[in-house]
Amino acid sequence: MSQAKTGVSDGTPKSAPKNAPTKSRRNDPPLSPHLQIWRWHVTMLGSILHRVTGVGLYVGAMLVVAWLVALALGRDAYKAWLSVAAHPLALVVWIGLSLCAFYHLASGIRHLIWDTGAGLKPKSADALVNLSIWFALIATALYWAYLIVAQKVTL
Amino acid sequence: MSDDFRTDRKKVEGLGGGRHGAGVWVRERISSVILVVLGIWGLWAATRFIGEGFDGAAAWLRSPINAVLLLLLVMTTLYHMNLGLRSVIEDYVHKPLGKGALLFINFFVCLVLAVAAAFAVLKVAFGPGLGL
Repeated sequence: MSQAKTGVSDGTPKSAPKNAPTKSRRNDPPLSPHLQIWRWHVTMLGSILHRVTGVGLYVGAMLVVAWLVALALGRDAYKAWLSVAAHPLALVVWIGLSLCAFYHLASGIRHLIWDTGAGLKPKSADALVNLSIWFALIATALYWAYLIVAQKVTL
Repeated sequence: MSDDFRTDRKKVEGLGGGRHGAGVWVRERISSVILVVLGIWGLWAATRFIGEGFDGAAAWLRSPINAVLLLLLVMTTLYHMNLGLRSVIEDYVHKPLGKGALLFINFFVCLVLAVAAAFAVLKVAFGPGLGL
């Protein structure tokens, strides 16, 4: 308790107004080193991909809702939807979205593992990122191989 | 003794880049655990109606289990992606007006998507037979 108290009040003068823009940055929390002095690690790629695929899935969710609305509007609207969504070029979008989904899923599980404090040593952290990337690629390939072999998707 | 009567908690509340402590972080995790299960179901479920046309998709959605699970998936997804994009906005946009506007748009888009998805799913699930 007393430790927490000193931790909070350390370096914060009592007179300093809360959230006031400070001339000196003396009391600001330390900043992490910037990109250029980090040695490249695959965990950086994993983190960036998690965010990028997350934003990709944001768009994907819009498309899923568009699909639902088209379905609710009836047969004609659904036909119009399919003329776009089932177009061969749209396949690129759906494959991309499934890749985002499989990666974000695996990467999210990796983050949940990390949140428990496990797997954070450099070696195991790198291994978990590599695993999530390979899982996403293989799962996406198998997913679409199945859809094509089962003739649910025709090229 | 100090003449500061604020509690330790009061002093740290609202600190951090997002000004909302760990609450969003925890809610992101809770929704992600739900999404691990529902997301896998959703990816599998899509293979059930892809290529089946209007009748196949409508029949699939008219199953109560599918309709309820899909609504759970969509709502949890919207909740999770709202928090996720909120973190992205708070990380990169620092001007109060721009940040506020983007956070509002992020909230509003998710709200509209939630209402549209709920209405669409219920309309198909409760709607007349397939002779639409």
